[in-house]
Amino acid sequence: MTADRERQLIIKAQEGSHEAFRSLVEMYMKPAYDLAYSFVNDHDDAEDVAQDSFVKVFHYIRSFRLEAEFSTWLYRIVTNASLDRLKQRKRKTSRHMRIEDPETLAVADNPGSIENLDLTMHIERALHELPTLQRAVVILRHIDGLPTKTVSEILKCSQGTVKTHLHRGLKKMRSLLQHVRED
Amino acid sequence: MRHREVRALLYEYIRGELDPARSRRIQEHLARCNRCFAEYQVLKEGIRAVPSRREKASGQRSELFWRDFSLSVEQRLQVKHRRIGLRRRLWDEAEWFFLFRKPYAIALATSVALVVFAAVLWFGKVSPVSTEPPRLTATENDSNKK
Repeated sequence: MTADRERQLIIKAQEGSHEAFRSLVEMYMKPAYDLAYSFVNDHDDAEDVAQDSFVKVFHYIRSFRLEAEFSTWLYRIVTNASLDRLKQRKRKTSRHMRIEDPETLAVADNPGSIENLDLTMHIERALHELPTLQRAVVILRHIDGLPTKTVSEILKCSQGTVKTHLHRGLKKMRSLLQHVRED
Repeated sequence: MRHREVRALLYEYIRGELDPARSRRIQEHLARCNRCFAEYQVLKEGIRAVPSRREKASGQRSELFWRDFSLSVEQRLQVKHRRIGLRRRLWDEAEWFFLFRKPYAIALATSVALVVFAAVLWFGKVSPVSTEPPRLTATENDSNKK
């Protein structure tokens, strides 16, 4: 689909056309889903986040300026929604750990007993340890493979900042995951 | 190449995203600079520790899932629309107007302020608040004298 066609769809969606909005959803549902999944690492949550993001797109599409890249604008919405979901999940998990599951608490307190958990879980846990911006940069640039320029536009920061956070984030991940590799 | 330039490109160098000429210059720099080489080693281990996603998550969902996806979004929109009352919808519209149409919002606020100011001036001129004591009529004067 050409950029002109996309532009026309956006204009029509801004005027309230559901048909045009549906076409935009169909165009971007897979990239949005992939991006959400990179953050939340769960299919149900990724579906929820991606669909919620499109609902937000529908409500705020009138504020979208046509000179900007629609995909970048959408990815920013998905990234924010995913980070919110992770925050909710972290709150929920810590509550469950405190109240319901003393075994999980023991695992979290004792790094020596976590060999049962698989690498994906270790990576997810290590990602949670990173500050928000670092985590977002590592996911978008490294795990998802988006170009530095796109990442800087999504996160509204300079390309230099993206590179700095990427280096710091990966170094921290390395030290956080070191005990896993040693095990 | 300067140290800073090399370090800024290390990630792309390790991932093989640079053109051959630049890649060779970085390689030459790393061969003679211990500090940049140490940085390169640490970053390389970091990259190795966190695997990139090779398979797209969207590929793991069925065709049916993708066919229903836009329908689910529309259902969410309808549910949200129904759940939100008229007052909330008006509030949302107002919020949208003030957030994203700031010039119009400022023009509207200025116009309202001007109208209010003009009204205050106009009514102030027609019925000014008098500071003088009320004058007595002739009959009231006579009765007072008595």
